[in-house]
Amino acid sequence: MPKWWARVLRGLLEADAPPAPAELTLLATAEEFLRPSLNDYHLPNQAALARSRVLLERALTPEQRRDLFARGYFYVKGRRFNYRIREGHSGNVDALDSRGCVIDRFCAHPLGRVPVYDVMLAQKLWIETDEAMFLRKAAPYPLHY
Amino acid sequence: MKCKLSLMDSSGDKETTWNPDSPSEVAAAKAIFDAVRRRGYLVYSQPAGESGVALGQFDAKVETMIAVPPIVAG
Repeated sequence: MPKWWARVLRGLLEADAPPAPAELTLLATAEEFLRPSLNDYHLPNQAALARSRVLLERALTPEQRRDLFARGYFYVKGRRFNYRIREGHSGNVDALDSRGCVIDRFCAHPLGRVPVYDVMLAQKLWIETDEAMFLRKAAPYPLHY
Repeated sequence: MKCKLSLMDSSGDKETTWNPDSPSEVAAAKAIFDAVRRRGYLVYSQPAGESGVALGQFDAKVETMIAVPPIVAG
C-alpha cells in the first residue's frame, strides 16, 4: 500500500473513531437536557407563566420592573431607537422617537411555544445585544391595529 | 458559587447549574451549552437588573445565562 494512502486511511479511521465514553456521557446529558423542548406540544400553563415572570423580573432594572407592574410594559434602550415592550406575543414592540411617540411597531418572537414573559425577555435581549439583527428579522406591524 | 443556564421553553424555563470549580460539572454544562448553540439558540449572560451580553462561547464563570430559541418574525 502506498504511504500516502496509508496516511489517508489512518486519518479517516481516526476521524471515525467513536467518541470516548466520557464524551458520550456528556453528549447524552446535553441531549437529555434538550429533549423535552424538541417534543413540545403543550401550551404554557399558569406555572410556566409564573416561572417566566420570575426570569424576566430578575433581568429588569428596578425602573423597568416598576413599569411592568404598573403599566404592563417596560422600556429598553437600543443603539438606534428606544423601545417599549408591551405584554404580548406578537406586534408588542414599539419603536419610539425622542419624544416617546411610537414611530414603528415590530413583531418578532422566539421559535416555539414559550410563555409571554419569556417572549418579552427575549425581545429585550435581542434589542440590547444586536438591535440590527432584531430590526432585520422582525416583521413590521401596523401601528393602528 | 453556583452558576446557572436557563433554557426558555413552554414550561417557562429549564435550568442546569454547575460549580465553576468542579471540572466535571463544568464539562457537563459546556456540553449542554454547545448542544443548545448547535440547535440555533442564542445564549446571553444576564446579570440581575443589567443589560444582557451575547455569549459566543461557554464561560464557566458567568453566573446567569439565558438560552433563547431562534428569532422568528411575526
